[in-house]
Order: sequence, then C-alpha cells, then structure tokens
Amino acid sequence: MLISSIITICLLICVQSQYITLPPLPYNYDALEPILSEKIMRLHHLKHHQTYTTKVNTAIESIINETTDKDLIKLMKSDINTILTNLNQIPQPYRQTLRNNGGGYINHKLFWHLMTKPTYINETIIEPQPDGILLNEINNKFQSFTKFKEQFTNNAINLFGSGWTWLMVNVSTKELAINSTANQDSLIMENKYHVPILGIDVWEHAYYLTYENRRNEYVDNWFKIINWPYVQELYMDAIGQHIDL
Amino acid sequence: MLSRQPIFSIEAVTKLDCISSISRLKHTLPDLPYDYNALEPVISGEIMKLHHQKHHATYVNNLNVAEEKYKDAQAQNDLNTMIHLQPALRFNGGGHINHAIFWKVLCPKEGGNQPAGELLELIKRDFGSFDKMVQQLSNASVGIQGSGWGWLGFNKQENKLQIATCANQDPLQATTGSFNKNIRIKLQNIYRRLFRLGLTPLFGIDVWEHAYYLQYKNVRADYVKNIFNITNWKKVEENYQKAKQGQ
Repeated sequence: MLISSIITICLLICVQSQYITLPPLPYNYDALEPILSEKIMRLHHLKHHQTYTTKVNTAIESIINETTDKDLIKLMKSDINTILTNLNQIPQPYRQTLRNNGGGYINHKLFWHLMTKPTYINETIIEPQPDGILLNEINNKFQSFTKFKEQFTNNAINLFGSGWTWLMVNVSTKELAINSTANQDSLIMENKYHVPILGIDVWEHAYYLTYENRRNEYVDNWFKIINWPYVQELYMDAIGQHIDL
Repeated sequence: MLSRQPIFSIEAVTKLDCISSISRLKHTLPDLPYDYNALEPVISGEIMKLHHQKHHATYVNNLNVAEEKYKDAQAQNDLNTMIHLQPALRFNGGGHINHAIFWKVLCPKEGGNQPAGELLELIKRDFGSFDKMVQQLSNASVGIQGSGWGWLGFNKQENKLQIATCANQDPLQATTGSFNKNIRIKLQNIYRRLFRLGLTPLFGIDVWEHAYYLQYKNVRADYVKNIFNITNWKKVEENYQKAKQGQ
C-alpha cells in the first residue's frame, strides 16, 4: 500500500505538467538544528510541501483539460498568486482544493526563506533582531521589539486549530500589522494588499516531533532562527523602497 | 455527561467568598478505560499519554478558567467580556466533550471488530453496508482541512445515521443544530423549541495531527484506516441506544 502510494506520487510528479514546482530549501535539512530538527524539516518539505505542490498541479491540469474557456485557461497558466487572488473564477469543484493546496504552496515557499541557521556566541544561541527602518517601524507600531514579540507570540499560541500567524504590511497604507489565517489560507486571499513579511506555521506538523503540545516553546525558540535581513528586504519591497542586499 | 467535582481547597475555604467557590463545580479529566499502551500497535502509548495527559488536560483546565471568568462577567453584567470568552468556551468545552467521548469509543484490538444488532441494521439501511459506511467516514475524516473530527452521528429528528465533520474542537451536537423559528412558542418551552440540538455523536475520529503524527507522520489515511481495528462497537451501540431514547 505504502509502496504503491510512493510509486503513484512519483509517477504523478514525473508525468503531470509542472505548473508549479517544489522549491528547494535555501539551506541543508539540518541547518536549523537544534530549533527545528532535520527530521521535521525533511517531512515538512518533502512530504507536506510536496503534497501541496502535487495537488495544485493535478487541479490545474484537470481544470485546463475540462474547459474550453480561453480566459480560464489563461488564468490557470498564470502565476499561483494570480490564481489565488481570483479564486472566485475557479470552477466550484476545484475552488477549495486550490485554496487549501495553493495556499499551502505559497505559505511554505515563503516560510523556508524566513528562517536561517542559528548564530552562536560562546555556545549559546543568540536571538537575532531586526534593525534599520524595519526596527523603527516596529517600535512605532508596537512600542518596542519586546512588545511586538509578545503580541506575535500571543497570537500564535492562541490560534485555535491549524493556521499561520503573520507580520504583514498593508501596501496601500504602508502599515505593519499582526494577523493570522486559518488552515492554509494566505493573506492575499482575504485582501490582495496584505503582504506577509514574517510568518510562523503553527500547524502541529511544524513542531510536534520536537515540541509535542508545547507550542509556546516552539514559538519562543523560533524567534532564534528568524532571517531578519530577508524580512527587511520584503518590508522594503512592500513599502516600495527596494534595496538590493 | 461530563463529570464534575466540587472544589474543596484550603485556599477556597479561607477566602471570604468560600461559599460561592465551593458551589462552582469544576470539570475534571476522566481516566482512560484502559492502560496507555492498550491500543498498540494502532495508537502508541506515547501518543495516548500525551493526548490524554497534555492535550485533554489542557482543554479541561482552560475550560474551567474560561467558565470561572464567564460566571464573574455574568455576575457583573459585563456582556463584552462574556462575548469575548465565547471562543475559548467553544474551543475548550468542545475539546473536553470530544475527547471524553473518544476514549470510550476506542478499545484494545480484539480482532473482527464489527457492530452488531440494531446498530448494524441501521448502518446497512442508511449506508448500504458496513464497509460503505467505513469508506464514507474515512474519506470525510481524511479530507478535513487542518484540524477537526469525523463523526458517525445519529439524527434523532429524522431517525437516521449521518456522517459529519467538524472543524477544530467544535462539538458535533452543539454545532450541527438549527434555529427553529416557531412563532407559537410558549415561554416555559422557549429554550427547548428554539434551539434544537444537532446530531448525537456515536463514534468519532480525532484527525488533529497530535492524534497521530508521532506514529503516522503525514499519512493520516493509514491512521484512519487502522482506527477501525480498535473501535469499541459495543460502546457505540450503547451511545446509539441512549440517543434513541433522547439522552
């Protein structure tokens, strides 16, 4: 049963059209140890993220094969973000699966880049912090980085069920805000002006093998592996002041 | 029914409001009807211990805290706080209800676990066969996006079995009911006629990742398939008989 499932998935990956592909991690699977184990990272990337990718490709392929509507075909061949901000144009039978799996695809694609190898000083992991314009803005909005971390953490811990907690920029007002989405919903699905610049996956699969039910411990430790330079780049993009690192 | 016990702590007795404290009954964590490793190899002892001692215990503790705050807010006519607390009551109350049912509808694998008698006849009538019911419940449970529960429930109004899914810790009976807009309502019956409770849960499958991840990882389908080997159909039949009698 297991072997036939693996073969089926492999065939699907090889034979189906690749509208989207599983992006590689920007680091080795063990790079985020001891915060996120190699075991978690392998499962999270090669099983969960791969499954979202495969299911999106299957859905897009089916929609294209089952329609003669040229506008719909054009939509299905555009980038995944465009599809996800036009879910109301997707045929009803496929809407939920594209929402779930498309959201899962883009959420995780971003997530990998928001994290980086922990930094040590004298064998202790140092919690990195933002600086520059982003830190100024965090201080303006949340009074201090500590208060921002507290609010973000409370949001993540108190999220009932599965979902994501985000730090986002509303690109029309340029304001920062903490927000959350349920399951694999992405911020752009509710409002295309909501751009995520930082996010934490609080689905149990993201942390259970190491932290079990202790989500608060996971969130606290996760702050030690945030890739603030990347977050800063996303912030500058969002407020329209891109700087090449 | 969930069991409750009165608080008789020294702290409560020495407080000035000790009488009101003693009268507030708290929810308690029910014991499992079997050892933690009794459901192996289907569900590991490690999972059962965490699931019961951590997850279910947390729902119970948080439910007690939320109820305490709700009663205080109610006493002060603080409607804002009451409304603010409702998600916590729904989540933790539902978590307690669901898990209290779950432990009882599972039992050690005895081989050939199948329902019998009246429940089996009803399953055949409403689904075509036992295997078809298992297929439908399995598909529904595996297909839940995120966290939730798959249920075999009894619809008392229509006298039939139904499969339903609930998100997160939403309890089946409370969240599948309907609001009956009957204008001819006698005041003393207003609550009963307005809020018709929904499906009565007979058998449920917890598909939160914490229920299976340590053992099955991302393969929820294998966990759901195997859980039918440890279903306590005798208890499920009991649940059905009670539901039929309106309990």
